[in-house]
Amino acid sequence: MTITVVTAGITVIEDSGRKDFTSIGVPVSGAFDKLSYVLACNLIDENNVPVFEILRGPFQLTSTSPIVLTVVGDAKVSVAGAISSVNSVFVLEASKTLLVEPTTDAPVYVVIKGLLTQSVLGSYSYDTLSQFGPKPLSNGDSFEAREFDSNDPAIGSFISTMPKTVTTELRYVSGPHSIDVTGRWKIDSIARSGVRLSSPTPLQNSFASLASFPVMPGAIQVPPSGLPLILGPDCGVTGGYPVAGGVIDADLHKLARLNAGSNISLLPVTQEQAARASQSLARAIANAITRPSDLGSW
Amino acid sequence: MKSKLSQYGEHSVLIEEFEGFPLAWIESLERHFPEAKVRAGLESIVLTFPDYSDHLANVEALLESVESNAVISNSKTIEIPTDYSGEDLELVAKTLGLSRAEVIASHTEALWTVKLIGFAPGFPYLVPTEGNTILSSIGRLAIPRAKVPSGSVGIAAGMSCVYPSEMPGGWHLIGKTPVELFDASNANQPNLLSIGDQVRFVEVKL
Repeated sequence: MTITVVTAGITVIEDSGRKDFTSIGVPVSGAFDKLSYVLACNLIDENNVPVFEILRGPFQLTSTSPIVLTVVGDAKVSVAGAISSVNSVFVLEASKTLLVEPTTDAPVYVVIKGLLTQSVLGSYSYDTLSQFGPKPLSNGDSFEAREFDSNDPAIGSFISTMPKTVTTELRYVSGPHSIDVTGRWKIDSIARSGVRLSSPTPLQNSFASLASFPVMPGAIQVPPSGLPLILGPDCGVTGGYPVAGGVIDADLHKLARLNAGSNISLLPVTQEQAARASQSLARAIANAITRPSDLGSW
Repeated sequence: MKSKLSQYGEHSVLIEEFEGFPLAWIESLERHFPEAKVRAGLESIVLTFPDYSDHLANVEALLESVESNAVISNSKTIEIPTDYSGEDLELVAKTLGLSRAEVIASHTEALWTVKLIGFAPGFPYLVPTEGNTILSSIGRLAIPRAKVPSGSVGIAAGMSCVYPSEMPGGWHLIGKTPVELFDASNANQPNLLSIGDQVRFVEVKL
């Protein structure tokens, strides 16, 4: 079997990230929109598998024999010209071409059941900043997948209750440096390495440059400009700018869904509130998917 | 030993304002909080925990029970053969009013300690194990290079480094080494150097 990428657009391979090597300088990387990624993995009934993250479409692929796949995100999906659906698991028949056209700037995920790719240091993720990990896709790239199972119980699964997420607000836990970033900001630019904010009234930043210290995705850096930068999955492992706080886990996926030019509010919360938000998101994820076996017969 | 602890976002604790090189702390923290990631900064340590708890108090209690500068046993000494043909060697010598040979002697006579691995995969920040070298007044380049070749040996801000792969960089380049610092195909031990290791540069002609 050969799966061929016909039109790559700008597409990278990601998984949940390369978490065990940050102490030796290797960035975490991983899916930008973790919520869509986890939903996509759950849909296809796999855990922490490599996926195609489409950062810019259109994207097209075809396969010499049938494959089980799902497309998760804001996109129009069609197979051989016929409209198909996002957020559901279906079989792409042999030699038919899948076309994915993102309808917003948010990443769209294509997950193929049993996709075989090479891992680097235990992860399939590509880091755009250090260019570490499997290379981004190019037109004509080919892949293999594990053997197709026409009775795969995941086929026909769909997202019946999409977890609600408010992309006009980012909650964060403050610290370590005392800079108040609460309030409204304009989104200046969005990349996997980070989201830049702007405002007609930048923050007063009296911090001198600091000795490099470990940073992580979600950290809200305040450079001398007074305009915050929220680090994304492809941030470096250390930084020298003061950090006002960290976007909470439950809101990290929103970084990938922001629109340049729109406004967001940064809202400080306690660790307890952050932990509760994570629990409630986990419940929403657990209740999001309906499988054909759930529907029974009547 | 005194230090300052701060909450750092949802899951992390920042430890700073301590004296000396806290290798024994890093080891104790790793031993006592196996669920946490312990990462060193140049003058700080960050612990990141997977879940919510009063980590700040727990970390504080542990640090009070450990001497930060206690001697630890498993660090190693590694020689880095270096050809001192770096593009900035002349500039460094001129800036310091030294000959090229004096710059090289200062770099090879010092014993260096790996203080932090960061910036890029396997990139070591090396500080003199004892005091300062005469090279310590050299800062970073005003305009960083877009591409520094793999194996370049650099100095900046009292520290030395070796570029483990080709990348942008702002350190003054004084030499190059064939030693491979980072091997991504070896998932068990991709890095040659670990925090706390000692490094000695040895002059060779390549």
